[in-house]
Amino acid sequence: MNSLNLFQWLALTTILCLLIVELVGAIRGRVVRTFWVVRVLIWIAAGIAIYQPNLVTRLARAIGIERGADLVLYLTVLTFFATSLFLYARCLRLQQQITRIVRHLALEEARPPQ
Amino acid sequence: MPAYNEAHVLAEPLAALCGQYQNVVVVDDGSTDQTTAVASEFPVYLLSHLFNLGQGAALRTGLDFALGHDAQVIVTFDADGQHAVDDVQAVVRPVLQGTTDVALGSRFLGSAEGMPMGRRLILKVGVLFTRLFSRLRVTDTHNGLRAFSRQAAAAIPIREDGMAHASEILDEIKRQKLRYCEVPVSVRYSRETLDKGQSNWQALKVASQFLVGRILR
Repeated sequence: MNSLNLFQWLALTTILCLLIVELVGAIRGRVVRTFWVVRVLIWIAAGIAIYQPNLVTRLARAIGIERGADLVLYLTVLTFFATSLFLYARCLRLQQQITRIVRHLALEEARPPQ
Repeated sequence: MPAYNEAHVLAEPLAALCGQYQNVVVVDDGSTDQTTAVASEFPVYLLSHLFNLGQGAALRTGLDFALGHDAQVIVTFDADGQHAVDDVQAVVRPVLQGTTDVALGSRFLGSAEGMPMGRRLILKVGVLFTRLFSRLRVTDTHNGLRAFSRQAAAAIPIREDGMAHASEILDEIKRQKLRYCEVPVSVRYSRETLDKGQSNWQALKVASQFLVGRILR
């Protein structure tokens, strides 16, 4: 078994805590299932990548990327853009819902000519 | 008539409109000045947004109200006094005659008094933008004076709350194959009009909002 460095200890402990929180949340039934599965998979993948960095390097080389760190960077950038777009779309939907509420009130309280 | 913080200019266009037309609807878009008080001095229907949403949202609210009151032709008119009330008849006529669904005012077919060169350039870029993305051959893209038939007003959703609504309206005209025409109108630029108008940066922001909104819709 590899001896872990300080960063690995800290990161893996944090991820373990987060996974426990996710599991407790799931048991109490407070989560949206799709997002929960995605989040847990991300935590597990992060944990494996931190525990076994060579695994990421091997995976990177298998798909034609020289270094594991590059693969992580590419995935991070792609995830960032996808998340930004998702959040922006969600923000637009929320804005539209707020607009509908404000409009509804304006129409309800319209003042006729005095 | 959408109005946001227009208390200092609102009286003039309202007096002119109310002198010739009944059924004037003012949508106060969450103004923090005396816009509501000024509008209340005139015989108009007054609707108020709780807070500022944007001109597109105010227009949609006004259109919904007019549709709910069985309006057959609905005219949009900016509150800053840039439009001439005499032009209202000109945009309404083709819609009333049934030859078009939307009549769009065009300052480039009519006249634009006191328009700075920078503004002219922005508007021309807007025209190119519309021809490129919406494939609509118009000469003026962001003119607030328009007339809609009842059917067109109901069909065009206006989901863009902000200034990008003008591009969205043109986009929807093309997408839904609505009949449209441009009508020469005059626009008078005053200090107030220019102060509240769009800067180059805002124009870029409006264009990006429209494009992103178009992708996400």
